[in-house]
Amino acid sequence: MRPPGNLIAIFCLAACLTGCAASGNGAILSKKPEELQSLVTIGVSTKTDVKKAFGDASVTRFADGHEIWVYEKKSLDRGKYLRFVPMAGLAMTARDLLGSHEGDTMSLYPADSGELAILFDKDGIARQVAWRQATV
Amino acid sequence: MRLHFALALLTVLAGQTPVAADDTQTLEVTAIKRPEQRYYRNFLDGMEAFDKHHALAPDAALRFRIIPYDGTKVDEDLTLEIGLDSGSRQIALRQNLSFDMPRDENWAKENPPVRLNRNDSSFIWFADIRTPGLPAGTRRLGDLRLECEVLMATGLRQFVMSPAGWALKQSTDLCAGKSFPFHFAADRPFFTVTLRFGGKEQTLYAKEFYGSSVPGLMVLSELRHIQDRLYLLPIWNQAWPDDTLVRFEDLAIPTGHP
Repeated sequence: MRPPGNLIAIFCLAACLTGCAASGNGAILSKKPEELQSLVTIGVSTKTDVKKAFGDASVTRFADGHEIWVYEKKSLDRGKYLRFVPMAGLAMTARDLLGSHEGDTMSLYPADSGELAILFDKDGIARQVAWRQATV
Repeated sequence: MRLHFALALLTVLAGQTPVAADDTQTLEVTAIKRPEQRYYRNFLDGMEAFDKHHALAPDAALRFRIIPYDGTKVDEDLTLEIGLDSGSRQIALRQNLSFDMPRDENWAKENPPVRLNRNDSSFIWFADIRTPGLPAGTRRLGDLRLECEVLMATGLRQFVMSPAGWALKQSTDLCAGKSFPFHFAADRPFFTVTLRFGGKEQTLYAKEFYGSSVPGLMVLSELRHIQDRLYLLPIWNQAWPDDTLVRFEDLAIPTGHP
C-alpha cells in the first residue's frame, strides 16, 4: 500500500537534510530497491500506474515510440558544483580535456546515489525495470 | 501550308518519336550520383592511429564497420567498393557489416573514394576493434578506447564540435579527456551497460545513454539515427583498466533496427 503523501514528503525532507534529493515525488527515497522494482509489474504496469507511484520522470523517447523513464536519487555532491565557480570551473575543464587524471578512482557516481529505470513499449506497457546504484 | 508547318514544328519541338504501346526503353545506370562514400586516406589515417595505440588492444585486429540508420533496409545487394583509377575493387562486407580495409601505399597516393552502392546518407561509419574470445554480449574497454583513437584520426564521422573543440583536437588526445563525450554504438539497442573488473562491478547510469547528456546531439548529429544504441564510457578513467569487460543487457522489445 502506498504511503500517504505527507509521509513521502517527510521522508524527502529528511533525505535532503542528510544530503540526498530525488526526482519524481521522492518515493524512491523511502523504499528499498527490491520494493521499488516490485511496484512495477512487467507486462502489466502502465505509464499511468508508474506516474501515480513515482511522479514525473526524466523521459527519453525513441522514434518507434518506446520510452525509458528514469527516477534519480541524487547525492548533493559538493564537488560537482565547483564547476560553476568561474576560475575553478575553467581549471577543472582544462584538466579534463588535457587528460590529467591523477587520483582517478573506479568510483563513477556518488556513494548514496541511484536511479530507477523503466522501459515502456510503444503501447505504454512496462517491459523492463532496473535499479542502479553506485557499487564501486 | 501553314498548318503543315505548324504540325512539323510541333513534332520537332516535342522531340519524340511515336512509340507503340508495348515498346519499352531501357536506361542503364552505370554510376550512382552522390553515393554514400568516404576516401581511402580516411582509413589510412585510422590504420596509423591503430598502430600508434595498438597496446590498448594487443590481440585485436583493425576492422571498420557501417551501422545503418534505424529503419534502414539492408539487403544482400549492399556492396562496398574502392573506386580505383585502374577499376573498382569490391570490399567484402561481413554479416554484421564490418569489413577489412587493405593497406596499400599506392592507393594512398591516389586517394580513391570508398563507397556504398547507396545514394542516401543512411549509414554511420565506425572503427570495429574486438579482442577475440570475449564472452557473448560483452566488449573490452581497451578495444573501445582504441576505437575512439582510430575514429578520431579518420574523419569518417562528422563530430559535432565547436571551433574551440576542433582546435583542441589538433593538439591533444581527446579520447583521454573527461569532457569530450565520445559516443559508442552497441551492437543492438540496450537497456543497461555494466563495467566489470577484478571483482568490482558498476552499472552505468542513464545519463551515459542515448545521447542524454549532450544537448543538441539528438538534433544535430547523425548519431540521432541510432539513438537507442548510443552510450558513453569512462574511457578517460585509468582506474578502469583496458581489460575491463563492458556487458550489455539488450532491450526486451523489438525495435526498428535491422
